[in-house]
Amino acid sequence: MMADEFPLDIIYGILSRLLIKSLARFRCVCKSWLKYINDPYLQTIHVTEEPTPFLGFSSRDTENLRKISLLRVDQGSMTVKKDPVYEFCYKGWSMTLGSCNGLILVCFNIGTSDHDTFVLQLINPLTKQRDTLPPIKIGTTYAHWFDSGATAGFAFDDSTNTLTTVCVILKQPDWSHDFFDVRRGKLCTMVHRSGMSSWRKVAQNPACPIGGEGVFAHGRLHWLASREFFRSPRKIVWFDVKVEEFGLIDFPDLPEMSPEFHYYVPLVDLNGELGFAYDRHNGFHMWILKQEKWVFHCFINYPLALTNLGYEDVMVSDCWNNAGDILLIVDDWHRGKHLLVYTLKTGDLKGFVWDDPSEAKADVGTDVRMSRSSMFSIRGINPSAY
Amino acid sequence: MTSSKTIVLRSSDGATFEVDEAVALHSLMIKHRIETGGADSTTIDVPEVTGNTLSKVIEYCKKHVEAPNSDDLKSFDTDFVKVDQAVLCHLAKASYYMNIKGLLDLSSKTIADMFKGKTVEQIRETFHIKNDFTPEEEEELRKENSWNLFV
Repeated sequence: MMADEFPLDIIYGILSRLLIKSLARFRCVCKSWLKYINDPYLQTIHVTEEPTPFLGFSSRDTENLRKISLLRVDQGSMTVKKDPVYEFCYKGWSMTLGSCNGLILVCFNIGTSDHDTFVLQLINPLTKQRDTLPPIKIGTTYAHWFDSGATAGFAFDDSTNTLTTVCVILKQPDWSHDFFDVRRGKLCTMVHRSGMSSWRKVAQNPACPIGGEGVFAHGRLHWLASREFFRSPRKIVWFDVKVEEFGLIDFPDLPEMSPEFHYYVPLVDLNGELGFAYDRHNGFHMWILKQEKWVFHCFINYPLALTNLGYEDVMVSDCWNNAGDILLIVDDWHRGKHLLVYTLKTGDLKGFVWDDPSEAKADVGTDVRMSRSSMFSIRGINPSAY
Repeated sequence: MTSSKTIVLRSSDGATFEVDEAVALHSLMIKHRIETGGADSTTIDVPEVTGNTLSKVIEYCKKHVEAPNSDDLKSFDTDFVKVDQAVLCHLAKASYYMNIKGLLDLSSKTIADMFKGKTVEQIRETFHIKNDFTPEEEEELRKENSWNLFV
């Protein structure tokens, strides 16, 4: 199959059907193939693969070092594999800020007790690359993550073909985070796009402080807004990564929601659509935002009342596959951490098996990420790569 | 009811094939030629395709036009692409030139499946591709792909 004998359209058509890991390998075949595989056009026509679940397992390696292990989860047999795909050690603590296009954004705090120094890194579990983002500078001072009560969002902006990280932080460290208005007036929004060597301040700021991980849907990052008073209605703050503007969305007006509902509602990524789940004691009700309107999505029959679990112990995560089946992460003190998959079509809840059950019971942080590989992740995150 | 008009298709090596117009129209390229060719278009040249390949393409179009809802269409397609690699490549190119989407998708997918699991060396061998990287360049690329555990 000489490149010069085949029309380019056919070559791209064939390449678009290959798995991303095959394409990464085939970059070595010859210079023409490297050119085709690196071509941004291929990314636009590439068939969307099923997401791969990665389980991020944080443990203590030695006295000073912590370790992150990324374990593969086999979707077919519903087993968490024992041998990690990728493992590394670090000092201090870490927090996952978001994931997209097969990459995971993690914040590492590597400082000493009186001065925290944080570093943001993009981790690619497939290529085992870790790229450090430039430090955030506000004016002449470097921002401190923890002191600044930072919230981040991470997305791929296909209008500019860049990985965009958005950080909403306090201009100066402020420990009075109980005072809504005070915090609101002191916010500052910084944006980093892959290829840039520094962060840029955005003209707008969110209408109120935000928290949690950003959920990317339809070109916008969404976060839960902090509430002014305990029983104030919850809102969702969005940031459009293309035009760099903020906005607000209300939750649907559901009369049966209890005040506790408004306490914490995780936002969920439902295959590129924004969703949320709330506990109704007999299960989870899920709603999805379709064309800027809230629509009832499904009911997951998981009666918390019948278990020994609390509301915070079961988390509705994102979609398990392209069909929209939903992943639930259960943190059971007795049985350890386990994963459940809710099948949208049948309403079944299926559980997982750990290859190494001792890992399930480990008293350490565990996070499950549905990683969607993308062409972008195999081109690398260096500016020279594209 | 379509008329039983026939069209003659002529390949690059002069072979001619008489087909029902309805079957020929499965190729959007031929459809366009007929529609813009005027009343005299009963013989259509297909210079990009040889006789052997054209006869197979016609076989595909016949099945898909005459029995599009038959239960064995899927197994027909599966068996249709059980051919050697060279024939498969010719089918892909022909379906591209003749604008037959179904056959293009089928042959592209089959070729893509042939790539699965192959090493870089096997790909080069199977498709007669020359390695034009220097050893250093290739080593650099391979270093970026160190995910043996995952494969």
